[in-house]
Amino acid sequence: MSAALLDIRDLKVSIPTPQGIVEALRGVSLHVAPGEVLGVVGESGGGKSMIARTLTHLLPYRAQASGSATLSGTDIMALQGEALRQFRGGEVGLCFQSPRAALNPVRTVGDQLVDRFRAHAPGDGLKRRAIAALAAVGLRAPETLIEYFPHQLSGGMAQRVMIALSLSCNPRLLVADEPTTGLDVTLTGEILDLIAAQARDGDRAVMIISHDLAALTKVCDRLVVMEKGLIVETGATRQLITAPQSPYTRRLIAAVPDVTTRRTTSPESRDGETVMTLRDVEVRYPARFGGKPPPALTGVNLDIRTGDTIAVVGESGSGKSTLSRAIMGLLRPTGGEIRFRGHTLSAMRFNQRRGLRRYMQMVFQDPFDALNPRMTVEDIVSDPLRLTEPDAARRSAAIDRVLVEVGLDPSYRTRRPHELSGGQAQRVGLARALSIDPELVVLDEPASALDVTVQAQLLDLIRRLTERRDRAYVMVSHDLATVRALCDRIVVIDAGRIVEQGATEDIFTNPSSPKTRALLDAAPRLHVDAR
Amino acid sequence: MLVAAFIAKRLALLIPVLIGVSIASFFLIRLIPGDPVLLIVPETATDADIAAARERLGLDQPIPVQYLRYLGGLLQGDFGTSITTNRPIATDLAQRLPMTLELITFAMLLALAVSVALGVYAARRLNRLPDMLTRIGAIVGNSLPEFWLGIMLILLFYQILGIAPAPTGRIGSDFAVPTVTGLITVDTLLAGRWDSFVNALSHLALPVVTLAIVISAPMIRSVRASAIEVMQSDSYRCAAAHGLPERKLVNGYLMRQTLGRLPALAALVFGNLIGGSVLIEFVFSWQGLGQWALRGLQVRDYPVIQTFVLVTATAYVLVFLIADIVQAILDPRVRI
Repeated sequence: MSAALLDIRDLKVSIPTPQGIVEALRGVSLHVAPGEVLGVVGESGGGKSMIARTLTHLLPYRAQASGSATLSGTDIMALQGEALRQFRGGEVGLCFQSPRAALNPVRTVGDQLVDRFRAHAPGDGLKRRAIAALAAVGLRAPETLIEYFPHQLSGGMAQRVMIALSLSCNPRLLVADEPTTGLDVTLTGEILDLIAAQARDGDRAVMIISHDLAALTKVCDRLVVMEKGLIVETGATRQLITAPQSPYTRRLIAAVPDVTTRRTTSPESRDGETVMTLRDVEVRYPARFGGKPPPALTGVNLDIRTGDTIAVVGESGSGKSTLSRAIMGLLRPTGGEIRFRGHTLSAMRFNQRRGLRRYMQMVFQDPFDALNPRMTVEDIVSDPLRLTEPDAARRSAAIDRVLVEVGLDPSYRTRRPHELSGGQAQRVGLARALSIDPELVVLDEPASALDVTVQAQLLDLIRRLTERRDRAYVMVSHDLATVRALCDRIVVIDAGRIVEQGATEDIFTNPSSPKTRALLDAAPRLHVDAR
Repeated sequence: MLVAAFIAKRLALLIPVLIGVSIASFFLIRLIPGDPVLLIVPETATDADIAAARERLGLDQPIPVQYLRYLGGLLQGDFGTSITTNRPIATDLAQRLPMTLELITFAMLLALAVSVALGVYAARRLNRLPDMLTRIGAIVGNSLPEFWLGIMLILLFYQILGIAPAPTGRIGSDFAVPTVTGLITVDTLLAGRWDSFVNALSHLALPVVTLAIVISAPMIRSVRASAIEVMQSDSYRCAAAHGLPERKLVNGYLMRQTLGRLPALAALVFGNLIGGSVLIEFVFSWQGLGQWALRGLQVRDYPVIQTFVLVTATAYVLVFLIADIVQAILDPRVRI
């Protein structure tokens, strides 16, 4: 083993909260060698981010840290004042999760880079250096980009800018905290490659913190698996994936959606009754100042029948959400026709469309955003039920029934969302949608906000529900692997158009559009042969 | 160019606002019991005298007719004549509006400076002594009745310490200067009288401080809360994690983002002051708009009240317009 660049020994962090002291890290030891890419993987609450925050002295209010952390001999824990300031950014470059929140919204990209140059290596030609820094992370037209404000950047661009900022002062260790949150699969690969490449040129090292095991296996030399503030396993990527020692690592590996898993039942349901048809649907959002923006959706044709489970797959910004909103009648198409239960949805006013809501329901991406925190589970689930079931006793029985259906004990009725785990909360969201027995259910990335092991359980529940074939499901996702096991048909959407649609297995075995092939290639899988 | 179009659009909005406000105020004040005519005629007046007075003032006409006449006058810039003093409203307005504007503008500027400085200072020392003192101070400032505070300040600085002038208007009689703009600080400078300017400032000091203390309280709390939020935001933490020096963090990151949230609140506070400075004007014998409107209300001087309501509404629209523009300058995400 070469001399470690970063050496952490027996690091403990405890955070006082109103509910008592939380032991975020309970004795963590790890090292990173120069030229190495280390991945730290685990589920939320595992304490991964606390490592990054300790290295930059950004622990939460009144948190206590003990143990040792050194970077080429510098005692990180003892740093303070000017030495700490020089160390932050100069020695350790921290790349924040969700760059849109971490970039200063009121300063231009160029100014933010220049701020960092001035702080660590002032000199002439700062603007030129800013342009060069942006070009180095693969951004096109950096001369124009330096005048941009963060809100004018796309998610992928913002992440690249974030990386450029972290690297701006040549730190010896780049720490990336969940760098791919919110990015779609194709971008995830590109961003991780860019981050990992920083370790390839000499004595720099990279530490990537992520919950996405599959993505990490692609770029990391070594992995550290964390659970509940402890390292449960560490080893070279290949060895750890092929011969995992700890049960938790095995669970993480098992939870990686497998592109080769197929839907067990055959798609024989094409004789179901037609629930909804979309003909040549177009949606344009109004422009702010003159000009005509490109349509968010155009020329969309789709038939949805009872028993169908249809996946709408595309990258972020492709028009998936617009399509689901059009299906739900939440927006009115600017062209074409949507028919539902014999009504022309696209020609109806908002109030008339509302009457059809009882036949269609939606499950949202982030359950905690979608559930009213002040309401109990019982109130949440019975809310739509009031539309169809005036009798309180029968309503109550229906709540119990639907809770059991989604795998929740009826005793959860009195809980409020903050007393639920992410998986439980999404089950409540599902129960709310199913409570009035809708004919059509739209699921918007129902599992993507959940931890990987929980994700697998929820998708399994959805699969069992869809196999009853008593209603139509439309599932929006950016991830082909998860939908393969769930859906009969796949609709691939790109730049507002359907570029391919067909039976799931046909799409997988014989994709005709380049976009579909790109999505298939980007699908997360464990890479054991890469290194 | 876009900014010019935006301003033009917002100013055009004034027309429907003012028509609506004028209708509402015109009809509503006539619903208040009380007859201004009875207050201006002599006690010995006969019914015929009263009817004659009513006819002279045009109050014998049906109310819609009265309104149309009033509106016609407004379009020609004629606000009418006070029923009780017989003075043209425009003359009173030209004299009193600048007095009040001067008072509340200075108070607002002082309050803004104080609340930004104290709010950010407190937030940077969260839960430590300076923060606690600021919070207590803000609560106290918020709960003090302004007239009481004014009287106490007079007692302390005039009566006991003798460093403030008597609360008798806005300038000592020896220092009078010709009226040009109606703003005493400007007029004294225009007259080239430095001693008068200083005297005017000393008269302004106590009422301005009193008002500023009262209106600072909610703004300090708002600035402090925004600053805490900014300091706990990822964008601030990220800048700190990349080793930016303290001064850059405070000026480029904390201040800019904190200030972006202030204009809307400041506009609301300022708008409130236009109608709400009456108690302070009373305590400091300030012959401003508030006192004028209060007296007009007491004697049912319809044109006075109508004009006051119009002026207040106009001020609200203008102040919010300014606030929106300032906000857009501070925050590039806001498009106007």
